[in-house]
Amino acid sequence: MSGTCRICDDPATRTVGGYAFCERHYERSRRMRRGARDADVGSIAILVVFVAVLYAIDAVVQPSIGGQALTVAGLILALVPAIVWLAFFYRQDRLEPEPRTMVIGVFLLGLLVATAVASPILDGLVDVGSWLFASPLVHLAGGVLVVGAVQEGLKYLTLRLSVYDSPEFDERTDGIIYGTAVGLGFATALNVAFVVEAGGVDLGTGAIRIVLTSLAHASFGGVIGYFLGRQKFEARPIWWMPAGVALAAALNGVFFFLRSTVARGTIDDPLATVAPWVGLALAAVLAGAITVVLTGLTRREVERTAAGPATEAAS
Amino acid sequence: MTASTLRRGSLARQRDEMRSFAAVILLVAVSLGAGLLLRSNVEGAVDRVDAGGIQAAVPAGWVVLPPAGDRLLTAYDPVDPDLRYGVSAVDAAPGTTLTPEDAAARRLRDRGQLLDGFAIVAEGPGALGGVSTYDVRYTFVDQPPGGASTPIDAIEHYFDDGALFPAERVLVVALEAPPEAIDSARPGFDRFARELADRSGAPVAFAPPEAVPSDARIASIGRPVAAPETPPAATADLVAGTVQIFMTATIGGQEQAFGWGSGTILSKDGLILTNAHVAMPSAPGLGVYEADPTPAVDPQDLVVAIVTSEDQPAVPTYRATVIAADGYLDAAVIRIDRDMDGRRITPASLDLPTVPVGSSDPLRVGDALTVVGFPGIGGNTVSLSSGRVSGFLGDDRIGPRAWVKTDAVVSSGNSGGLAANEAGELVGVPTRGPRDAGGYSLIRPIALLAGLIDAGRAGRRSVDSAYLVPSTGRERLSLDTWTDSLDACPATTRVTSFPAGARQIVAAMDHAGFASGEDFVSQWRLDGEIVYRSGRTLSQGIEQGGCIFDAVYHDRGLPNGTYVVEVYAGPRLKPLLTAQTTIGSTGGSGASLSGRIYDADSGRPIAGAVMFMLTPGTDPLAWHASPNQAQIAGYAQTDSTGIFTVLGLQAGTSYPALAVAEGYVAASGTIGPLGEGQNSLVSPVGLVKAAP
Repeated sequence: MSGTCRICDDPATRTVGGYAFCERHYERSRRMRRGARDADVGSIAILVVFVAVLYAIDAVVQPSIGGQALTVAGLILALVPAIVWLAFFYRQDRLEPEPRTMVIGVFLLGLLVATAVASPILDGLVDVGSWLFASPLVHLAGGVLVVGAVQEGLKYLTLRLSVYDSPEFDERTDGIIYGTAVGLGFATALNVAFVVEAGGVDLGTGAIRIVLTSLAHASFGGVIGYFLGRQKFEARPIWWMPAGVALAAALNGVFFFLRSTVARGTIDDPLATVAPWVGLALAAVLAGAITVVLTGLTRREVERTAAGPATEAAS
Repeated sequence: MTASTLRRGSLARQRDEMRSFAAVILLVAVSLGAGLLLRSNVEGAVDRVDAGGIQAAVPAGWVVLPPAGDRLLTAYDPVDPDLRYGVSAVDAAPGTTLTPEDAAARRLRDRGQLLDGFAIVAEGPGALGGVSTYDVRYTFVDQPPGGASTPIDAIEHYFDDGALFPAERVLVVALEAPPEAIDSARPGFDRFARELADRSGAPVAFAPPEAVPSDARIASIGRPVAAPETPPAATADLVAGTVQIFMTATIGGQEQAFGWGSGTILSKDGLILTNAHVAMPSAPGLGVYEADPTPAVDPQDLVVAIVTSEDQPAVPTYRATVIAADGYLDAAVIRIDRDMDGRRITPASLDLPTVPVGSSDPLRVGDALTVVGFPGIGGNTVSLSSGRVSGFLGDDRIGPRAWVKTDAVVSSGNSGGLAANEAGELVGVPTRGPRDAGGYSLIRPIALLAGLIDAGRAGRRSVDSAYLVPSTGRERLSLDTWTDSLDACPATTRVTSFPAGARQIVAAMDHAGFASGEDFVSQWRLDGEIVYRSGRTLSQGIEQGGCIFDAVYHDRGLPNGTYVVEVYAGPRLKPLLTAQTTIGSTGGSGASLSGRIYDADSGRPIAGAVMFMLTPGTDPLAWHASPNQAQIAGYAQTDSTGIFTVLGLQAGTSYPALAVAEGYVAASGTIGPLGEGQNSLVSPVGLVKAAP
């Protein structure tokens, strides 16, 4: 076998899904990183508990903070989901280290792109707030076609133009990890902007919104990452990546639509005009389901290629 | 495998990846395009309005106010009342001309004095469609009494209205919005402004209002409208050229006349000159001389009765539409456009007898005058009286020959009729009876009405006056009390509600900062439905005190229910007062509703959110998608603490409710039944932003 590995410059010894790999990266491509899934599931659980605790504190103690303190508290809250996930990820990843700078870098890149590109497009150019909520139908369609397409398209671009061609992207599961990181970057940017714009948040309700946004965007990022991971290691048809972005955009639009309609509650309910917990539950279920499905699919794929003709290594 | 095939393989892979990349970009672009199409559909929904002679398209669901002062049209977004369109006119002084740039300079000087923090950002020539304009962008701070101050950006386009006489009148089309909303408001406003510029100067087709069903008839005749009287001179031509004009309204499916006046036929094809207080009592500027602050009610239709025989009452034959009105001069030109069944008439087919228009300038004291009309005294037939020019009367704004005084017998029904010289030419319009002028009656000389008649002949819709009084920018209003009489100032009878069968309810208001002759607009709701909306002009001496009243009246008793009056005034025609009362206790009594609207994600109050209470049976979300004024039972905006209070609701009723705020998903539900006569509280309403 002459030619070089798809990932590094070493000579290729094996081909999988039409691509050539060196021995090391062939092994890598077949590895199943448990850490990613555990970090996701662990984070989801921790964050839900975190919200519950804050909500309880807010309800029982009713801390009387206001003004600047409220904003500072909100900003700290906005960072929590990313910190929790990154911490989890690194704990799990000790045995099979991913370059930390790379994951952090992708996270920061997501934060930057969301702030400098996505928000100006959606709030400025397209001015979503002025028309998106005109009717439920417009909200749903616009949520997918405009908000979803812009946000998920930009997540794809961020990943595709940065880490995708890097030698550090050397396992299928890496796609999901980097995707999650970029999604968290987006969520953190959105949450910070939200806190600043609102001039602070009430601890309980604010925490729900922040965690919800993070779980959702991390999940959508994960979906894109999964499609990218498959594309990197297997020859995929031309519709593969558009389908991935479309799926993420659809999930994005439908989720936020459901969150703000189903979870909205009604004016006449004297107890809760909004059911914030319904939204949080929705986000947790979504994030959990996406984690399980993506890792499940990846494992199946890895096992299939592993079980298959060990290679047509040939030559 | 050779190196070259491998390289080709690698190139092929690169090409595949580029294709995939391009496919994603294409997908996102197509999706965005579809989304923006959706957006333009949402934002493109418009209501066609016709106010102050302006026909235009405003965004669907916006509130449109009638003309007041120099504002011909005011429209605002009920969800964001700081987002508004305005159309105003700047008139050249009589005998002079005016360029858009001069008009801008004049108006901006006034604005600078009226508005806080006024600063011009940019100005210069521009264009709207094919019409050249002078454009100005400025900012100011809106400082409502007791409210939070809001910065406002404004964009104004000045252009000649292009009508008969160039450089006579400049139209100003303006957009006002909070700075963060102005860019998104631009596309809709640009469409609005361009359409207006395109239309300007083009004679408007005489589209009749809704046809009146043929079974409608004039069921009763109300009182004649107050005005003048004269001695004889008389030619059959003058009599034949005079018409009686009934002001009608359809009540309970039956058309009724609630007043009448007279008119003079100007052209064979049905152009008629009359008083504004007959044809359009709400015309801005009308009423500056009125001691009696009875509110003006515009007739829903005008019925023209023709003299067929001098010894018989005139025969209602045609229906007419106002083409041009000048409230300050109290004159209007109307056009016959339908028969009694509401079918359109071809103007050329009419061939009516006309009265030639003469000149009032040569008139001298002692000249003979003939007055023809329907005074309503001595029977309801056409009457002629003769007299002399007794003198002239001046006016601060018009000059020395504002009125011709006469001793001819002029009574209320003569209003709008004919005053002729010895040659049998129309030289004036009998406008005011002896009561106001110390035994003389007042005739408006025809010289002052030349522009109006020309506008009418050209078919140019115009409700405007060159003599309007600008607002002061310092207007304040508050409810002094509800009362049943317009006679006592301050009101002596002070009530909070009215018994069943009340014929008149009056809001007596404390005021400050108004000028004599300044216009304001009031709007009345009965159980949420708008029943009456008009512009009015304040009488002389209002600066010195006195009362501002606003009233609704019906001579057979007003319906039971909850009445709310909203009063708008000032340079931007902002709401200054909202107050409510009730008539009758059996039909349920008034109630109001308070609550708080907050951001459900942050817990913070939302200022400027709006709670709409809709008429029972309305689906709030469907209503939100296509708002309809008629289905609002009441609404209120939140203050900076997120608190709102909706007035004018009915106790015992459950209302579909909708809470909306810019950038938030609307929340809906049903609230009620509301408590008797009390302010009910609704639990706080949380709104969520979808997280884009």
